[in-house]
Amino acid sequence: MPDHDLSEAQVAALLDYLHAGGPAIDEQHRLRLAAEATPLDVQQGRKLFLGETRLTGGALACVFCHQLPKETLLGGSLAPDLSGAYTRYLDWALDQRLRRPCVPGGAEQAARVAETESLALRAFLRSVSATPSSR
Amino acid sequence: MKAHTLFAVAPFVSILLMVVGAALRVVYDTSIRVPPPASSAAVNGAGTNLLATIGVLGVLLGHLVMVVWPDQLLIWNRSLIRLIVFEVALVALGAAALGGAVAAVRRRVLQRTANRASLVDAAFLGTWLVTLSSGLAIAIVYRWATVWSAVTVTPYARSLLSLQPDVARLETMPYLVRLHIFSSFIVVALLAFTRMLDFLLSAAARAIGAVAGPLVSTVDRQWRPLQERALRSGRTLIWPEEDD
Repeated sequence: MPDHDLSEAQVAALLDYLHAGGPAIDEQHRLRLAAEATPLDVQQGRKLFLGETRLTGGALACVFCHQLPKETLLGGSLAPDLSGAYTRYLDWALDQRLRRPCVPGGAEQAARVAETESLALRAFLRSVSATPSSR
Repeated sequence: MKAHTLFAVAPFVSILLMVVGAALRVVYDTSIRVPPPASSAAVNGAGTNLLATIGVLGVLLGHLVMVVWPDQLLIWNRSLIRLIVFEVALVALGAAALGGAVAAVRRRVLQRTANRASLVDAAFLGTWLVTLSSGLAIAIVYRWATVWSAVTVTPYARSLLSLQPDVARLETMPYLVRLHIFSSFIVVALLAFTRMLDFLLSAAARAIGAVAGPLVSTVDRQWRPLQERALRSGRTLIWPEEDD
């Protein structure tokens, strides 16, 4: 007589989960929040935004389409001002947005920014945000 | 559906109209001629025309670079100074071309001619004015167009060239960008029915003559002795008694 109320299917799923790495893998996949970023991450995000460091996926730097008046007066004016982007979207939604191509269409399937680049950009956008959120 | 019609069907229709229209005019229309010698008024406006021509050619060349070498252009634009130089140069060339178009419209209004050909010319000039104005407005209002176009308009233009139009990228573009692109299709479609075609064809004929003329005369020089020898041989075969 088992000392738990789990069904056989649930036990099998639990075993599969543990076999696949369990909580350790979860921790690896957990989205690092901008609030946890170091000043170095923020600096890296600034360089990525302004195009001083190239994005590994080869995507255009944000500054060519977006403005960020606190940082530069030379930002593009095709797309919205990103000053309030972090407070509006916060980490999860902003990460998803950063990974998708900015312009619909085309065959690009690869993520536009890498995980570390997403953190750096979110941290940078959080740092220039009008009212930084602690979330 | 609407975007598909405007940006996937219209470009091919406009090119078809231009090619068929130009072919029909070359075959049937006797009005195609080398432009007459310049009048004194035309001479006075020669400076404006030259500037406008340089502007048009420069703008076309800039657009060609954007479509054919987008990666190289992005590398060039990585430096802020070079980016500003390229953008300012294109704006200046566009302004020169627009100035020429405005001068042409002004001449047309002052002339007040109203035959069928001049109506098409007027429609062409009006659309050309819209294309140039919207292009200049894009460069001024939507900063760094030579960069962002590499991931928006250039892939669309290339999809047209590969005959597989992908209009999805244009659907998120501002109205001015779509107006600029669509009006350029109208310009292409109207071109074959305007007097502009006369100038283009005569310029093309002069260019072909300059390139092919020496080639033809060289071939002719080489060919003539062979032709004469063949004629002599033919005569000998047909009328052998004449050699005696």
